[in-house]
Amino acid sequence: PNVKLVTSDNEEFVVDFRIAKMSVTVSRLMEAMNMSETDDASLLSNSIPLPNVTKAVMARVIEWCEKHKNDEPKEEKENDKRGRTTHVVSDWDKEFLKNDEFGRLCQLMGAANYLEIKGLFNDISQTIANMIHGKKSDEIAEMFNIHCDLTEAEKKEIRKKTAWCED
Amino acid sequence: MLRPCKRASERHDADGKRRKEGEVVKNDNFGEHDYLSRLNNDCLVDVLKQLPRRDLHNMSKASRKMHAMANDPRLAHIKWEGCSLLMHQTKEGHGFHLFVPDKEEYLAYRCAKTRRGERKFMDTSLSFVDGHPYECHMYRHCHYMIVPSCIFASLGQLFYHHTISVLEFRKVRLNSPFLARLSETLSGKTIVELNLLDAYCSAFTEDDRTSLTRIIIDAKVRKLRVGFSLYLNGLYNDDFFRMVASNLELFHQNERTKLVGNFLISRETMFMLKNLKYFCSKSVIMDGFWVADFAMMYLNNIYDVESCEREFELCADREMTRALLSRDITPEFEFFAVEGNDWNGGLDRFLIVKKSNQLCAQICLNLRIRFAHRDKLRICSRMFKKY
Repeated sequence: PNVKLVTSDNEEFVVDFRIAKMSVTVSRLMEAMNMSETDDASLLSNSIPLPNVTKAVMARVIEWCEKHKNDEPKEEKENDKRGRTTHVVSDWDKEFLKNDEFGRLCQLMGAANYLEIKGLFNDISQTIANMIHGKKSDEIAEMFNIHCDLTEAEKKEIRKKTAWCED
Repeated sequence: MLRPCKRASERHDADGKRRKEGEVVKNDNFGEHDYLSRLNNDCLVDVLKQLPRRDLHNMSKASRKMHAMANDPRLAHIKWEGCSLLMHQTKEGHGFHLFVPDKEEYLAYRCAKTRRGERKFMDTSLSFVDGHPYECHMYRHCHYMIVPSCIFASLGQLFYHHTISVLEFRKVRLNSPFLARLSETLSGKTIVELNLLDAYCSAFTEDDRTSLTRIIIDAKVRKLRVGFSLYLNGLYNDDFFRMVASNLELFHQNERTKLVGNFLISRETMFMLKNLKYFCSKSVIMDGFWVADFAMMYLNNIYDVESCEREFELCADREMTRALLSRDITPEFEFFAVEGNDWNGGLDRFLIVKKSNQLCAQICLNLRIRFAHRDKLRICSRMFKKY
């Protein structure tokens, strides 16, 4: 059975029921609309509106879901000793996300967050964290095009407060 | 931040102008290509959760938005994890060091206050308890420490970022400034257990009582373990104990206490003595020089002979000797002693008798004090030698 998903730009995607179920948001919507796997009529007559996802981003989401549709559900990992969350990004996912420019990656993350696709969200989150890791503040600002709106006094204050963590 | 895109037919600005397909509407101060800042806060926190402390600090210097995000309380456990604080006092004043794991020492505070005297140390280590709440231990290696104000500023910071359920101070001087600052710092917080152990308690004043009351009530302390000697004056009266009993689940006096507070004579001390049941009586310590005064004070305040019978088991800070007990005996009293008698199990025993009504205080070397009429004590007069 297939499910119809409609993006914000009115593009319709017909996806496998299993793929649709990978999104918690879509699952909930289907439940609310009484759409079930066994009821073909309801699947054909209804479509799921996704106003927060564009066509281009949806295509990428579906591509990721296609690859991971047969994955075993992952168990929640405990935080490490230092209290940080740990997530290992597979080689395929690294390659997949490498193709996206940063703006698209952020859009993809927003979509994963909206659609509640945890695996994709964690992959992107870890990828962005890896990009930040080890960079100095000015390098971070440059890499992500962040305009530093801190005044000199504010910078000085922050430096003073975080002096114990400086190199 | 990713915003829902509207349908092409609906894409109009507020002034009715049509926008081009794909044009990004910016109603914030972020740069056109600053996608990271536009991520929603939850997404950003999830990214930052995967970074170590140093990266968080670097992020916090990138922009105001990043500063706010890097200081999100949800990331506090990363920011403060594994730090330990060392407070010390030098000739110049107090120092306060924050240690970061695997790193060299970083000086965070220097307190200008100068206090002459001994070298004092205190270190604070933070450790995880059940994941999130911290147990904050404050130890000091030697001597009794006057806690400088900087530690309270830091404590305030720690409380802002963490859930500290157990707070423990050891070997500190529980003086008025300490209690007042602690009360101020803990106000509005929820402390499950407050331990004040091995502490030296100086004179307990009305202000101290107010502070301690505030600590117990405002910080919703459920368990209070104290390891300081009681300052046995009138401020430990019924009201105070009633408050303590009604607000705490556990009020435990640590038995390892060895130091002594001064002991003030007051009529109200009687109220306190009635309430000694709230304490482990063996940890109520009395200055040896005050034992005779205490006994005489008690005997002077008794008017009803029948009700005078009472027995206390206390701890003395020094050896009870005949010389020590007899030196302050006033003319209305007589002093007797039995020294090194086998009949008494090898323990010396002393007797202070009020001449006018023959009410007695019998004091054993282990500071068991029994008050009764002379007849009730069944004293064998031949054993006692008058001094």
